[in-house]
Amino acid sequence: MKAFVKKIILFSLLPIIILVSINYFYDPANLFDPEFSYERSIANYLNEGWNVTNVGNMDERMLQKYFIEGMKTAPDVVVMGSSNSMYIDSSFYPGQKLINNAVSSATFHDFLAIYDIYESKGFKPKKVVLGIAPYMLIHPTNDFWLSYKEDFFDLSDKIGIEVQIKNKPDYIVQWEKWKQLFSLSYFQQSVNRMFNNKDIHITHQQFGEGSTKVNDGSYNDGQYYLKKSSSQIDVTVKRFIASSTNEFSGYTEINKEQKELLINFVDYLIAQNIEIEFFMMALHPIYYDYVSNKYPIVHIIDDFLSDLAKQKNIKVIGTIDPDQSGLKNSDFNDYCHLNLNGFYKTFNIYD
Amino acid sequence: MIFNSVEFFLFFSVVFVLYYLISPKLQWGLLILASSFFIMYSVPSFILVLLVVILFNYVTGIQIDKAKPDALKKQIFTLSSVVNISILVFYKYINFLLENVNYLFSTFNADASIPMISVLLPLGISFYIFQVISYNYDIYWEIEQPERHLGHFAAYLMFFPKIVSGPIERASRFLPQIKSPKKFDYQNVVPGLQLILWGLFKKVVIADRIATSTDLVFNDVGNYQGLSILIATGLYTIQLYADFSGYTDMALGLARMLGFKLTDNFNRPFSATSISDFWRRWHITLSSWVTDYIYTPVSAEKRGWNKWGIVYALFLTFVILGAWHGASWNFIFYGVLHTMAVSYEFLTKKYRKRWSEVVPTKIYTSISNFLTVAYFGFTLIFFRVVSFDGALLAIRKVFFDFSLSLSGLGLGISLKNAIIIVLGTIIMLKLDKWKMKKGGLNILLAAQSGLFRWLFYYLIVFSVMIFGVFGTNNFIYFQF
Repeated sequence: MKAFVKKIILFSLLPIIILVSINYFYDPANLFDPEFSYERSIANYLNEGWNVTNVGNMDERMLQKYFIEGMKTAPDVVVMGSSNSMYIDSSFYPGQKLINNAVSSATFHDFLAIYDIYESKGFKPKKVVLGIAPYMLIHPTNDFWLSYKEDFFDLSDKIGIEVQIKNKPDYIVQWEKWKQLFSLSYFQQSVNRMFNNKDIHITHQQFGEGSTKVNDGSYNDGQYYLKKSSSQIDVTVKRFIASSTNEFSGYTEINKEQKELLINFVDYLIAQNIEIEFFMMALHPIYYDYVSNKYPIVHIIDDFLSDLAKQKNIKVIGTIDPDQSGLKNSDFNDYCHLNLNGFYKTFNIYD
Repeated sequence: MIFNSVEFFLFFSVVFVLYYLISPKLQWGLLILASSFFIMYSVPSFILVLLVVILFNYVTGIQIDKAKPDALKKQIFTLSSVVNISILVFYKYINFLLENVNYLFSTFNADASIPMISVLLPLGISFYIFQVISYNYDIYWEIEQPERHLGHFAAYLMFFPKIVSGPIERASRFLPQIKSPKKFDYQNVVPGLQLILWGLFKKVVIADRIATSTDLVFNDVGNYQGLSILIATGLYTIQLYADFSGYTDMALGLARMLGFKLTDNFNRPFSATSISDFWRRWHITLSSWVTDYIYTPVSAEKRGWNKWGIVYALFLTFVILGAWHGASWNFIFYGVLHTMAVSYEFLTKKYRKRWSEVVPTKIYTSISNFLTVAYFGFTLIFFRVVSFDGALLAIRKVFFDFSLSLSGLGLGISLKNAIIIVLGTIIMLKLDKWKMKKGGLNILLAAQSGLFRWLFYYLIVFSVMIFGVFGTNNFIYFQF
């Protein structure tokens, strides 16, 4: 058996070495860079006025932190939200300096942390646009905001909200990170990165072949999305409905912690004399038809946000129901992301 | 814990090393411990049902053998069958039965409704219950002797490589193997590893890649046109084969590494020229089980009905075979469709023979082969689509909502995926053909140089690493 075990180890060495080295060196999610040099370099370029293309996986929270910390002047309008809000750029608010700080899978914890970084810098925007995706109000928070948890707690203390975090022990966080070295799905992304040059490029163009982070913080998808036809997107939406556990499934009421965070944050901004706008993202018509019939929580979210806006005298842009904003299937990139045309319609840019 | 998971890889590595380090006399004990851990890893209480089944059938097996006169023997055998079937019915079919009873109540406006029972389907129950039924049957007819070593009997039913999805191994084939001590043997371990690797390739490169498209269509047939459903049906036929034969290869490979030879479930099913032939090649351990324990006794009992006795036996056999897959009308109808085909083949044997003499052999065989595979694919619509109405809708769409336009297919297959699926399928079918002709992948590879073998293994390993789909896709037959 010894000879067999030796042979197996010898045989396995090559695939394991290839697996680990490609995962480490091509590192598609930039996991193995403790200095966040990738995020820092993008933030520096943005602050120098460049747009950055071929932007890949990164810690978006750290990028926002470095981006805000490196700013020289305060913005007039700050956009916060999830990936659904990333398309909002300076052209949506002409004559004002806009910075978009939306991050993927955002929760209200991100809103507080980002605002705190501005405050620490001594910057106070005139207007804050809060892009609210339905999931933010019903799902418990994720772990992403822990990247800048000090900033979050700084503001939550000021606002007077007590938030308990269920921190994973550090060894679990480390284990989850290092085990990616052996992950085959991570390997496939690494190989993809190896063959498709994913180095960032700086440019003054706003739309590139790959995804582009614009110097106002907004984001444009690359040609991959732009080339997708409406019928291809319809297929993606149907696939999403068919194969996924739905984001609304199992939720019957608004999450108390999220609700408290949002209301207190809104009150804090109002107290600071900052104008607020809500941006409510519409869902793809096929997806909306499906979820609005199946999950009453969709309407509860809609009503809650409308009532809150009325109560606090907040302007609301857009609705969850695509019909109400005159949106069609062709105005979407997927089940919940508008394309640029969809954004223009929602923000009445054509009017 | 599925075979293509990191957890299983670690689990099996430990079991494998310990298995050959401990005394061969204790190996059955390790197998019971490892199998218990494997079963309890998903839901710990699953082990309790299996323990009851083991103890009950261990006792009944010995009592059937001992009992005299024959009437008592028959009583014990009948009792064991009723209890075993009742356990299966309770866990697998109770809510289906209650649903139908409630439906009848509502049809007759009866103001009654029996509440559903919350019950989880224990891991592998359909497989081990069939094994104990045949075990008692063979003892009753004095084909086999009962197993008197409780540990060996438990290891037979619990053996983790086959507990989840078979093969449905006969006691007469497995028990003698567990009695013989196993020493580390290169001639078992290497072919076992080859089978595992090959099974993994079929599962993650072919089956799971196809699943991304077929799930899309079959979970939402209402939104797809006939051509999409037709293509998805063809793809599902390949997916099911790659998935189940991939699982079986891995199960056989794992068992082989531990020194056991399990029965293969497949013999190039897509080369079958009739549905009867197909069932001799597809899920062989199930089809041979229903042949031996349902078809043969029933057809013998109904001899007096002449050919209609055969048709009756076929009907019963295939309906049970269909229902074995799951508690729904879809699976029962799947069985009925196969009854129709096999009965048709039986009743028209003479006419078809005449035709085969008139038409050139190659053409006749090719047409028969095409019709067989197409018919099997068609029946899979009832196998795959969750509801009966959904399956009927899918068939209606194939016939009445059919256009040759490729633009609205909506299968979500990129060119890269299509190439991988086509190439993977060709390699799988060619290798299966080769395997059946030459007697196994190991024999084929043994004739090659060491360098060739290693290159071949690396090719499979890197294909899995680069082209595999890794997620949470379970093996399809795990649900049964």
